[in-house]
Amino acid sequence: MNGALVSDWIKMRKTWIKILVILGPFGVISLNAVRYALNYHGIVRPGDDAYNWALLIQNISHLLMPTLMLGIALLASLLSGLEHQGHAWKQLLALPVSRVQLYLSKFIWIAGLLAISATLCAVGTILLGFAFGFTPHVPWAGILEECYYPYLAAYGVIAIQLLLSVLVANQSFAITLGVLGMIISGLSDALSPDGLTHAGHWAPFVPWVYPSLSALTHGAVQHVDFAYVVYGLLAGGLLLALGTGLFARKEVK
Amino acid sequence: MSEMVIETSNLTRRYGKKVSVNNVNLKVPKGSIYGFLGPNGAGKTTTIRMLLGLIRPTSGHIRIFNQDLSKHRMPILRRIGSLVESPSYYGHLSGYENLDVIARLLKVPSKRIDEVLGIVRLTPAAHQTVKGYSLGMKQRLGIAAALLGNPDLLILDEPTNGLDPAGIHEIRTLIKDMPKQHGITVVVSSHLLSEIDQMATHVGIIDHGHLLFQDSIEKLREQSSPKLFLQVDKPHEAKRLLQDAGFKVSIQGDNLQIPNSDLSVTEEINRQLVQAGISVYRISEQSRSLEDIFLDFVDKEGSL
Ligand SMILES: Nc1ncnc2c1ncn2[C@@H]1O[C@H](COP(=O)(O)OP(=O)(O)OP(=O)(O)O)[C@@H](O)[C@H]1O
Ligand SMILES: [Mg+2]
Repeated sequence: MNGALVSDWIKMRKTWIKILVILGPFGVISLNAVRYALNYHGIVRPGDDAYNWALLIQNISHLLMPTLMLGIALLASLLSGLEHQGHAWKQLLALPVSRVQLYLSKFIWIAGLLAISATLCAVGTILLGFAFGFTPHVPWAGILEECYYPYLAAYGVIAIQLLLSVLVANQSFAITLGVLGMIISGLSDALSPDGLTHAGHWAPFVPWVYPSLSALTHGAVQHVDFAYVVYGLLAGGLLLALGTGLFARKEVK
Repeated sequence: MSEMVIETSNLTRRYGKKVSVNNVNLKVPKGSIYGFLGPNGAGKTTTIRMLLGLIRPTSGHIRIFNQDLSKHRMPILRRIGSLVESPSYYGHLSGYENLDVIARLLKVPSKRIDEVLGIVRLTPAAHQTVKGYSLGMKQRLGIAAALLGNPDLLILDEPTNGLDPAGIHEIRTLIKDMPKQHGITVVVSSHLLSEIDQMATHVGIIDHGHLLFQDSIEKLREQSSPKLFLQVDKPHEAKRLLQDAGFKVSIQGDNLQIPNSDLSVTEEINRQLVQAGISVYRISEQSRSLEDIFLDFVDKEGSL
């Protein structure tokens, strides 16, 4: 397994992939920084730090969801694209290496890189709050939930994007699905907390809405729902198993 | 009989209704350079993909190193190095890094990377990105990758495709060295007989999925030895006469054909015919090149 992970690292260390991992959270945080800087008095309630933190979390979360969904699609596509571009699959799969390991390595890398992004996002949120002077009551749990819950809830989407990117050489399919996923993930975001009780009926069957439903914030009130993290991990596990099976049987052109 | 490294039995692969490989029984002897010859679309790559476990046979069996490929894929692949059709590479990486990617998977020491780069003479370009390599350099990098795991069997699918004469020569020299210097058995496919002729010890000719010929290159060459053609006025009488005199004769159209064109034989035949009162209009020697023989095989198949 180590061999597969190291070999994937050699392939990607000179690509945009590394930069993308930083660019995502940097974009989310810096856009919010600009927004606050331009309209500080319209957004911030002086003296109400609990509210200010919660609103900051909400604002970051709203940008984070589409960024996360798009980021997954791009990472999966870039990683598989490396193999498709140079006709490398046939060389790779004629080696005495288990196909399961080759596939898992790609998943582990995407999940690992996104974990870095999620961490950067949490760190960025805290720094931004400090920069605006919301010091006394840092809602640590809220910030961690804001960044890590959607990330974990997105494991199903990671598995879907990876599978499509690997099986279909033309990456426009995977990217199109990624964009659709991003739109779908935003639909649930538009739901009010009341609507969520209705969403409950169909949402468990749509992996794309898990991330936003796992850490929804409305009117500066967080509604985190660990159930969607569990759904995400379950869907991720199942779809990863399915993808590994399909990849192991795949005919190589 | 010598030991076989590859043996397939009734190997068949269909794509929809099209049968791309049809009941092929390959026999590749140990230590040979096996030229796998066939025109475009003959089924070479399809066969090679099956040998490497990249695609599954529709029916038939593959034994490599005396083991069933479907049951022992990993241990078999550990002893094979391969290059399938167009070169495989990561363009943004250097040649060295490309080999490193594979070396990590094979768990071979990095010293081996330098060795194989040396064997294919890519050491000077080792740290250039492969994007900037010429086709010949990419092809040599592919061979280096195939050699990385110290294979006992090298399977190369059209390694000289698209190369200039110098590049072809270079790769041919590389391949010829394999059995001698490294004890490696080589299967090399091509659509050019002239190319196979200059390096192979054994030949398999495939067309429309059928293996039409398989034997040592000498056996193929025998078929190209020159023959004597005689045009006479009474061919049947002449044939009987010459057969009685102990010659091997066959009739082809109006011509007599004798599979021997030594000067003494020619003189003797001519004298006997003339003495028997048979007019000899023309005596000619016809030799067929290997290329003609190859085309004959392929044409016969095409007219089936
Ligand atoms: N994936 C595929 N789907 C459908 N048909 C295929 C596929 N791969 C190969 N074929 C068909 O199988 C036949 C044999 O193809 P193959 O690639 O094995 O030929 P080849 O001998 O390698 O030819 P070339 O010298 O052009 O490389 C061709 O007629 C081709 O159209
Ligand atoms: Mg081919």
